[in-house]
Amino acid sequence: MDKGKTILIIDDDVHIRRILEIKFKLGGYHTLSAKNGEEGLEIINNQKPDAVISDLNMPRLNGDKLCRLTDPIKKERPFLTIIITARINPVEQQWISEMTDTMFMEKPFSPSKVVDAIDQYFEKKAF
Amino acid sequence: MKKTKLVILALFFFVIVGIVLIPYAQFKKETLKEVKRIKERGQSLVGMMSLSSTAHLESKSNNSFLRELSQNAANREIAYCIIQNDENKTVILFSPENIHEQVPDIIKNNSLFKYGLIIQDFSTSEGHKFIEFAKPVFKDGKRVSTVRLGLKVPNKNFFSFENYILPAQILFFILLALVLGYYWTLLIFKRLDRIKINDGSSLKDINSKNDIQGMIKNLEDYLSHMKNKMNTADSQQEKLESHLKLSQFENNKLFTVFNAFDFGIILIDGRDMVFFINTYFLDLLGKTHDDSIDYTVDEVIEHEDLKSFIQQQNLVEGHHDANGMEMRFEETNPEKFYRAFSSNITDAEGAVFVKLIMMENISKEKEAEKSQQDFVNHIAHELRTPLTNIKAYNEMMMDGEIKNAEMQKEFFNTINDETNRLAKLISSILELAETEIGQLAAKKDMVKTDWLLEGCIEAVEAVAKEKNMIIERKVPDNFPKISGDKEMLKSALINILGNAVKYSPENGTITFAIKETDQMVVFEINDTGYGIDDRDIPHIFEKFFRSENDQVLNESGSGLGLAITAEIIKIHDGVIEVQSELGKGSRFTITIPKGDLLIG
Repeated sequence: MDKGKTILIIDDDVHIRRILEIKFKLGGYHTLSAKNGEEGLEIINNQKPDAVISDLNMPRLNGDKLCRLTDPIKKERPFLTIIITARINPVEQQWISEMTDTMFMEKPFSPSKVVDAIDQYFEKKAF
Repeated sequence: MKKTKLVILALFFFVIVGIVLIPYAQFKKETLKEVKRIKERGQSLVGMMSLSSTAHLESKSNNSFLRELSQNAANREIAYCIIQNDENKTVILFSPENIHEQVPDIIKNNSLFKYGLIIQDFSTSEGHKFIEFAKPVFKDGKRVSTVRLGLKVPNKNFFSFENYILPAQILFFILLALVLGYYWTLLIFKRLDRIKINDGSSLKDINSKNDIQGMIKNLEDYLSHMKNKMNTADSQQEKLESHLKLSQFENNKLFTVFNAFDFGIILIDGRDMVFFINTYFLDLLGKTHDDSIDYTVDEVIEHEDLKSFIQQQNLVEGHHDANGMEMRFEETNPEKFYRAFSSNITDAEGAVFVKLIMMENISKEKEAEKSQQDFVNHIAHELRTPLTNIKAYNEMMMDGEIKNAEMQKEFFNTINDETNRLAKLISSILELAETEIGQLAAKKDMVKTDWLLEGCIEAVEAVAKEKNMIIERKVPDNFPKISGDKEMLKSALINILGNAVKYSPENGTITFAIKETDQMVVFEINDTGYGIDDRDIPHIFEKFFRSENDQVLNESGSGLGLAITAEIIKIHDGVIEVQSELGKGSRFTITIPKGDLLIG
């Protein structure tokens, strides 16, 4: 069942990108992938994904900077961002809470839960 | 003494003359006042009488006029009153004591024949004084009569009792002043007697003669004593000034020391005025000495955090937070972190007289804290990434979502690879922990370098072969020996050799050379790999550092290998150096002292 939504997966780890791609495709989503923040930002600007799953600790442009750069875009074109992080500290929780439509998920995460979160977001948005 | 007597006699004479002159002057004044009063009264009376016509007086009111006069006469003022017509014939005569008969002719003629108001005085043979007032009365432009009025001037005696009331009062007060003055002087001299002189004796002891001379002598002694005291006070003041200068000098010395401190100091007095601020603090606040000293704290400190810290400390007097307050100075030193502390300097009664604000640079502390935090974050990231993969791939397999056999194989391989990755990572972390413990964990032994060389090559050979790479050996005829932990040294060299294989393209060449000097053994590993970017070279030995070059990112790695190698070389008192050029390759040179070869 094609849900007609595109999910961008940004992670420097090839295996994480791969498993999420398979999981989202099975869930009826289209996927795009990037191996660092820089590539991810380019895809967000050019291909306008409906949701973004991003690692926090990445080369070139980390998840923190990527979120800050994409937050202004969300005012005109809202989309969900899920930050995947190995360890969340209060400082990170604080800035994530200040971002629009942004949530975090700690590693090791369950691919099913990531897909569930995305499903819920689109369901809410549909209402 | 003669002089004193003459002065006293002169004073006495002046007092007597004063006592006589004052009542005399008073008497004269009173007399003149009385004469003036009588003249005014006489003028008034004669003026009134002259208004009535003679005929009127003759006919109707003669009796009443006389009655009026007789009443005034009773006051002994009007001695007589005569009204004479134009023929100088007496029309009305009032003279109870017949004084009119004693009026000299010259007075009478002046009164009768002159015009206007005539005022003349005369004395009778008995010595009584009178004043005669005369005024002509006119009718139809013609003089019809003359009114003559005689008033008696009271005969006052200078030696009367009243005149002596005032001098008596003056005399009384002079005597009273003399008596009081005498006793007051006695009292003062008695107090002087009690003043102790340096040798412990009193002025009275020096001269106990209880008379004026004695008192004057006492006074002279006292003044001389006071002069001595003042001289002593002067000398004490000089001493104090000298102490003050010394203290100022000490202060300046102290302030010079404060200025040399590597932390900020502000001293604030009880009026909240800044009386000292060292150069360190001035630089931080961007102020100068002149626009800070003797200004209030509010005027000097514009930095919001510091201002609120000081206010907070003022509120909790005596119970200051030992942790201080962290702050930054964005305008003057934006990269550094600081912590403010405060302390109160109190006097013996516990009252605060100086507030001390200190500012310490805690950048290194913060850096270490951040580095520790980063390290923990990295470890978490590095450990949890393979763990996530294992969990995620396993979960999908367990849920039966992967039905394709090829894909299932891929999943199992990934789970296996990630488990190995995790195990390797845990080993690296443990190894790093061991090397960080340092010398304690190192098992020093005699290590043969040929054994090291072969062991390292053996570890990377398989991968090198896969990439069709050649590993060349450049070794001396006799392999040197070094003192060290053989496993640690092997691990260090494998990390470098492994990187050379990992970050080189296929068909590359690696040279592993061993050289020997008197004291040192040098290991040199050259590769024909991707090379290291100049900006990355200073960081390659940092934990978890990974270059952002694509060739590096395409290879898996924890960023711990070179950090572990650097620690191991450090433990062996060795040095590791790197030379590299992007696209051409790298050279790692490790120099290790041979050490005590008798060990083992």
